[in-house]
Amino acid sequence: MSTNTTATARYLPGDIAVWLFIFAELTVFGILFIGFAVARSLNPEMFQTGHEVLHPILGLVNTAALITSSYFVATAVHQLRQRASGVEWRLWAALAVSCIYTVGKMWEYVDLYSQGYNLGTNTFFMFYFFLTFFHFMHVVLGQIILIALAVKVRSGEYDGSDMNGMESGACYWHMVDLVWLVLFPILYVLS
Amino acid sequence: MLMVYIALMVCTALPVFALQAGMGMEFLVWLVFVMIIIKAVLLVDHFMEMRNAPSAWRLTAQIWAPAIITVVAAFEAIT
Repeated sequence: MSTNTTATARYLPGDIAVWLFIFAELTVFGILFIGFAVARSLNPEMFQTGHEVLHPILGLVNTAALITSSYFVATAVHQLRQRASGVEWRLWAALAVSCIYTVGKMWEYVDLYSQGYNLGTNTFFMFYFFLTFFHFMHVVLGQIILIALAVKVRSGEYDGSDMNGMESGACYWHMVDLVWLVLFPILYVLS
Repeated sequence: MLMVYIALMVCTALPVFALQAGMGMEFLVWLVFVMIIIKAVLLVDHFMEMRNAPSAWRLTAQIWAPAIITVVAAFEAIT
């Protein structure tokens, strides 16, 4: 009896198709991270020199922003499931906090580009720009998803009766955060 | 949920404080690796709510960060 209860209580949050997409994305990022580690082991001096140009404090602020944003999204899902109030403002708050990341990242790109660094500078900057911009585009897509979720909550389309859409969007957003949690220390701390 | 958020922030700040306290890079590197794994597991289990997912899905989601970090750490050790 208790086994049946446990079995029925276990369920995958969100849509299975979104999860397959998430795992595909994580695989791509994983291959890129391993490529970065291999390239770094072949030329540690170049990676050390490149690393010194980056802004670790900005990276730290971006990490805090994405974690805070994920927290707002996670609590929004919880509130919607409980059919409690405060779902919409949490989603907008998540979006607002995540903008710290996007603005900070754009500032860093402009700063590095004005100093003459770009994709063709060397292997380190090829990885830096490719990895961070690839992640940046995922964040922008996640922000669009957050807007869509907030609009659907406001319109009453998402009222807690069906959590599939909300959970799918939230899991995508947390995946973006998960990738950054690995990307930030590898690029900004360890190099 | 708030406790998880606080734990994630502490894990993020800990290597920075350790660096300021004068911890050597050889230890800091491993501290960073451990913090990444802890944060990833917390995020997957609590924010993604995978603690209630079927075991195979949960394990697949949880194993990603440790697997990447293991490979990166192996190259770090070689370097």
